Amino acid sequence: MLGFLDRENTVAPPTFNRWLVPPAALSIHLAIGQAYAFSVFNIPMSRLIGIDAPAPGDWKLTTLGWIFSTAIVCLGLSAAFGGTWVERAGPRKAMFASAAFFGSGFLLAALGVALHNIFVVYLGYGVLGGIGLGLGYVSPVKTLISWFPDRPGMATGLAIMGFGGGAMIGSPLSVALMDHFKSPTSLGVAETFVCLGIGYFVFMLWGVVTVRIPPANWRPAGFRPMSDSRRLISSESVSAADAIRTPQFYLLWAMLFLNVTAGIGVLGQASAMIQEMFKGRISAPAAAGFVGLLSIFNMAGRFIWSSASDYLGRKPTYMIYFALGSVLYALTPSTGRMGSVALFVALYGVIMSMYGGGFATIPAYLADMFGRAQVSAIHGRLLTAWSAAGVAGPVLVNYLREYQIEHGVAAADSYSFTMYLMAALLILGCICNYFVQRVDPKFHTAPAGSPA
Amino acid sequence: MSDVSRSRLILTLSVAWAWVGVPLAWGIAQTLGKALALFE
Repeated sequence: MLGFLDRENTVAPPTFNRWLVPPAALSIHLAIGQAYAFSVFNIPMSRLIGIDAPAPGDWKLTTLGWIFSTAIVCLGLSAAFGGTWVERAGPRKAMFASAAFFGSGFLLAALGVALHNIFVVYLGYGVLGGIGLGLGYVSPVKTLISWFPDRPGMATGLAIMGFGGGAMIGSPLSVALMDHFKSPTSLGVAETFVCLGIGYFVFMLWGVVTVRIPPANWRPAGFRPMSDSRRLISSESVSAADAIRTPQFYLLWAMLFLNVTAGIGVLGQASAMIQEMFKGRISAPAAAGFVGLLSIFNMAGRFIWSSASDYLGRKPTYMIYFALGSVLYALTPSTGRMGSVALFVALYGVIMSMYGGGFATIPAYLADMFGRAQVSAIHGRLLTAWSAAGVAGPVLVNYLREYQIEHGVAAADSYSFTMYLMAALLILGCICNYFVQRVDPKFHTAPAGSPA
Repeated sequence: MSDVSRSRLILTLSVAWAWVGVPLAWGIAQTLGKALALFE
């Protein structure tokens, strides 16, 4: 069984079709994308004792918030420290480890809910689940880039689109399962966790079984690898250890951090903002529908923008994210003042598409800059920017808003200031992107084109 | 590629994409259903 997982048993036969690899990657990313839907458990988990309303001894929402935060921090840490292992072990073993961690994380969290012990839940979904998220996120990236050297942005965009789409499956599925299992004495959370743990493990196994790496020196018909200094594409490779010694790595880290901080910041306030800005016109269910619509824009942006970057070039694509993004962030409050819901929704949608695009385009940007030999390990290290932004984004937005309201600013206007601040963050991102240049050839150490 | 191999490939590709495509389409339909409230 363990031999089946080894890299050498994953090499594709000559008749293998490369279009089987994106669904293998998607089966991992669609599953782990459930993390974005974890908030559907917040209210039920705050009423495990009281059932109809929170009772003394029930967990507070602030306590529950740490489950997701722990998972995101563990995602970044496991991607950073496990990225090199993923390179060595190959995609099949890494995907299996991800499925095992993610599935068992749910099972342990179910035990924590049954025992009403929050630390067991933190350890389950937060730590084990978070490790599964990190390993799963980076595991198919290099394989996809190796199968699609002619369209790396499209290939990684397809997989990372799955992470955006995972919440759209996870959220209604979790609600339906809780409805099925609830009784007068239970909200069905533990049973739902058990079903999700087993279900996601089985779903991810499809990716484990079907993923293949290309044979050494394989390339698609008619494709010739070449360097393009104008588009910052290098045919040389840099090791992960050397990559983190280059200024390019830190510029890309800052770009991801700023893009995600701004995106998380505005996503977190989207529901409240549309209700405040269009008081009396947008109800709470309509605002929830608006957030759902944003998740579709987020998912679609991952595929569309990342695919477009294959033609536009990675640096110009990020220039669009940051330059156009900062203008749209700054314009959004004006649409509220104009009273145009349609324009507000459209601007927010484009903003969210570029937020998703920023996530999906980064692996191809890394492969251009550092080569694909150790791109998974480098990508894993870069994802610490996501963890940092996951903490910084909400904190920045919430504290700024509280500070302004304490100082007499109207609720609707406090959102405007946040949007202007996020626009400023994107201008900083634009500056970072401007300074990205080719990597110094002295760092070209890793063998180019090593197997996926 | 023989006809048998081609048929097997098409079947494998169909199953692989359906495995991820069907749940994703269901999730998108659920989300769009909720999003309709925005336009009511």
